[in-house]
Amino acid sequence: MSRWDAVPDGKAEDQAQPKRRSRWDDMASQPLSSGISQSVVQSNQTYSGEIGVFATPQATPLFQGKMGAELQTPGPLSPRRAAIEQAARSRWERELDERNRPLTDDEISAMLPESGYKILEVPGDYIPLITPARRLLATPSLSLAGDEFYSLPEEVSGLSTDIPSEVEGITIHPEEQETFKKILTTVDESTLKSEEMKEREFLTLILKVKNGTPQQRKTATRLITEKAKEFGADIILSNLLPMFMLKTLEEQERHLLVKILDRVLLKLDDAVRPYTHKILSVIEPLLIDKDYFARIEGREIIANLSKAVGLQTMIATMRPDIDSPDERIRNTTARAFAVTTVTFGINSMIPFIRAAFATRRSWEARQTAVRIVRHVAEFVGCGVLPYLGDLVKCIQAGVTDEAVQVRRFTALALSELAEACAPYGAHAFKDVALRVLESLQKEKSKTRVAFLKCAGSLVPLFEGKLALSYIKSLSKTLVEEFSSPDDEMRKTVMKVVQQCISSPVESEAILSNQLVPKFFESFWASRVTRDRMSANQLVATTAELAKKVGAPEVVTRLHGFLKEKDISLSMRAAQAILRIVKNNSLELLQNEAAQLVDSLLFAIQSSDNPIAAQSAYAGGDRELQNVFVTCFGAVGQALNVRFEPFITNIVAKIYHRINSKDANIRQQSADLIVALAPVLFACHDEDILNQLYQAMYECLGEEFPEVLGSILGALKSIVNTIGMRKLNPPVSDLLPRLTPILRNRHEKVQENCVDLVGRIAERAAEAVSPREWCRICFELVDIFRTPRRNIRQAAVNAFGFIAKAVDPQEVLSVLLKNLRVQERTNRVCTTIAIAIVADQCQPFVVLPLLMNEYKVPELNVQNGVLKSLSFLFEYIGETAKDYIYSITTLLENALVDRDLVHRQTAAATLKHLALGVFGLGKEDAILHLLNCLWPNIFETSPHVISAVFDAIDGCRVCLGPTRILQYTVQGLFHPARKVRDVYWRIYNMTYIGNQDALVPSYPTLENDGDRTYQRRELELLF
Amino acid sequence: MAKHHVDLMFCRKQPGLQVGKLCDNHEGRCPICDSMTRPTTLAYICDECNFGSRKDKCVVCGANGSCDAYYCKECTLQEKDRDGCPKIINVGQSRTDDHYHKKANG
Repeated sequence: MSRWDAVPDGKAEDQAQPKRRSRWDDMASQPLSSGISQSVVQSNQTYSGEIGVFATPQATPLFQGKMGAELQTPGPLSPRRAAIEQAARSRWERELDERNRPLTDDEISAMLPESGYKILEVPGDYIPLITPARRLLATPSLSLAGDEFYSLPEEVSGLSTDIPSEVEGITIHPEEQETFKKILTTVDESTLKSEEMKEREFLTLILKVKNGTPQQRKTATRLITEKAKEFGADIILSNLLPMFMLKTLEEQERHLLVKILDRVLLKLDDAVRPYTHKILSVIEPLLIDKDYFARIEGREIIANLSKAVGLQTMIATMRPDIDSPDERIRNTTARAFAVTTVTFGINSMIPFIRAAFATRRSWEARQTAVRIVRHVAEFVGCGVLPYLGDLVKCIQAGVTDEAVQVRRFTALALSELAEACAPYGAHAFKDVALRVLESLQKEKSKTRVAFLKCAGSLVPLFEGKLALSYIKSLSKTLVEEFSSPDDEMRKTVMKVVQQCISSPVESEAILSNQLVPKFFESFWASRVTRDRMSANQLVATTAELAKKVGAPEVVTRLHGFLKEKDISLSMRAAQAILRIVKNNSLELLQNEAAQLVDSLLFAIQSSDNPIAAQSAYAGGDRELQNVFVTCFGAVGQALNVRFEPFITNIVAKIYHRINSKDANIRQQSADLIVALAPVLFACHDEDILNQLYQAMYECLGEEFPEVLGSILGALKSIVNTIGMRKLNPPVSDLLPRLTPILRNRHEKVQENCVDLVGRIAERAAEAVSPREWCRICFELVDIFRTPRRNIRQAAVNAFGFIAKAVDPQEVLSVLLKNLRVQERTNRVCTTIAIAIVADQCQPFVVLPLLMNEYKVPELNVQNGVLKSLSFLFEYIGETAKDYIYSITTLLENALVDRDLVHRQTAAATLKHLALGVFGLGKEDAILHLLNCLWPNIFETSPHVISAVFDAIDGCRVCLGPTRILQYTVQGLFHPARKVRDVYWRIYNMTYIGNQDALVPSYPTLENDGDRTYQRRELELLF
Repeated sequence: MAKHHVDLMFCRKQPGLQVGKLCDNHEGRCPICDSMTRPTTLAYICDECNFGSRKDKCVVCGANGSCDAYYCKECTLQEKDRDGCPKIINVGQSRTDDHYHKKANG
């Protein structure tokens, strides 16, 4: 049994091996730096006496008896644990069975009329098919409601059911009974000790967090955080940590527990020190979780834990694990160490890493040390630069270590360091670079990959001759490995090729050995493009290659792949061409260009790669979505006027395909128009554009929303290029067709349609009757309800243009009416639209109407008006100076209103107003409003108080810090702390903002005995 | 975003010469106060926040950046543009909660 498997029993271990020394403790001849006392490093049990850098003031606790039982690595299941898991599984199965249960005869006769139906005999040879796969596939039905459908839960073997399964209405699953058993029994609370009471309370709160409703969860989380100190570390952690080890814990539940742990850590601070090891053992696995969010959570917890318990405790706690025989433990420990290193600064950990690497008897410890360096470089990136020399020196001997695992990880760590600091730091790697090349020749398989990666990462660091010779000695191995069957090796080779060719040395050095043809031969193949990671690297390397050897050479090699049957190959070729064309000038000969356009057209039309399969391969990659069309557009733009000869052919194809039966093809053609419209315009083919516009106009009756969205996009792009005047049919015909489309709820349609309408309102509003615009206003107000923000934004902007084009009064009446609706998002959008209208059509049009609306005795409306004013003053800025006096009384009224939200919104308005009129001589009005605002400084609601402080800060800018200081001084030394705290906060804010300007404003104090407070100006000068 | 999610943390290191970027979702916003009005001062970020894979990522959410970030006029007046690198360096509770919620409920 390994050490990790054993239940840690401090007593036994203490007595049996009082002076057990870890192999790691045997230092090599390398001396430790100052401050590390040998005795401390040697004895990991006792920390009394002198405390060195790595000692902890308090010994890491050893688990007594059952204390650590929940934390041990799970071995074979105990009968009890097996029962718990069985319970969870059977609960799940029961639930599924319950949902899929066939109807009983009683239920059927209750549903169907009694006469007219007959119950048939079951055929004798009928055997129902019940396989697990079928069960999983069965549709769950939600018809569980009603008394008839309830069946008593069956007893689970091994678990008693006489315990209640509910506390305060929250269900406890059988597998959680063990954890919550203390609150499951009813006891007379008067007989309990206060500690037991607290534990019961805490368990109830945790149960609410775990299984309660969102509201209960929120309150319980807040209560736990508030009462953390009261509960104490013992109660909280000894109950919370074992829950992480529950086998049946789901990810979301684990996240909730992690959240609790995080907050509790902050509150308990160094009181958690005795639990450091326990916390680490439950949190460390998060660091290698496959979920990114889990890894981030783990890092945050460990960073917070480090801050709470200090560096010494962290080192002392994790040190025994660095030479653990278990690979997983070493891995997580190295990561945890790296997090701690980043938290305390790399400097403070270098001695430890050096010492750990100097361990001679255990390669595990050396490997962990190297891993720590690797992860530190990964976490801090270029922040590693100041310590680069030290870190490289610490681990460079690992390149020739006797243990292969150490060599491999040293190469990886050096590679990570080099990547982190590129293009700086060549001096640090000077010694090790050649040794890496030497080792590269000797190593095999995985280690060889690591060394190749390392050598590649070093290339960008070197310059001039050094780089040249390095690349030369590397390139032979590189070309040799082109034919490697290993996936990992292939990826690394491509990466290294990219690194070599992006180095600014002469091309011959790199491109010798027929690198380019061999590269295309070896890597542009289906086996590479089918794997997503390899394919990404392939495209990146190819694009880099084009920079070195010129775009034409690479593009002519690539366009053949566009005609490949394998969809992954042709799409990646298009992606590579797209990248190359974007970054380089495309100087193709006319026949080469013709070939390229031909291949692209072939790829678009080919029935071998249906569009559905294309989007399936693209997955979430945005660049790959619709890559052929985008690539076509980019090539067209790169060729510019040279694209003209191909236009007739392409447009004919588009006409043909726009009437296709397949919706995907119609959509693709519309997208192609979007991509090509600017090119057609550049080639002076306005007639063709107008024809395409007509074709698109006729397609507006399209029923598939995705296609309709693309068609609207095509219209938008044509309208943008040739302008509104030359359109036929004219804009006045187009807009009435768009009005009903605005009602379409599909996001793509809405976005493009609102955009197009806004564009028309901006450029050719007079072409359409005001009545039509009013109709559109009503439709646009509805669009405020959409969940997509950019659609709402487009709608709000369209309002501004429409208001400018037609009578703003009418638009405003629509908007002001909309302030009365219930939904908050809708109202907020309306207020923004009002502000934009004010910005476009001058505030004097809007303000009287708004102020009139404020008279309506309705909370929503008044708040809406205030919010509009807030946005309005934010938009108009300095123009506010002309309106400030007219608005003062309204704001004054709002600032002294009973309703909190009134005051909050008025404060926000005041902030924008004050910042708008800064330096424009309107200080009298602002000062008056500040007087009304000031009593609000003692508000406790978080939103209100932050609005009030923002407003005061705005006033500080406008009125100068002296005035704010005069208001503040009186409260700074108030006898009540609550008052003092607020005033000091305001003072600090003022001080941060205008430290220097406050000097002349401080009160003059007389000298007091031997204390001198007076500073004469002349003295200050000297 | 940081204005509406108090647990988000700014980097606040000494800014370098790199201009912070914003993604399509946050385009036009001031990184401090979320305002879309009057962008005034270019927002510079520190070297570490523009390093490696973090290069050209949105300062607010870490997605691919597409345009430069500007501080609004009001934040410039209040000198909030001089408080250090405005890159958000943590993920934030609401996003993590949302991620796990989605994962649990499909």
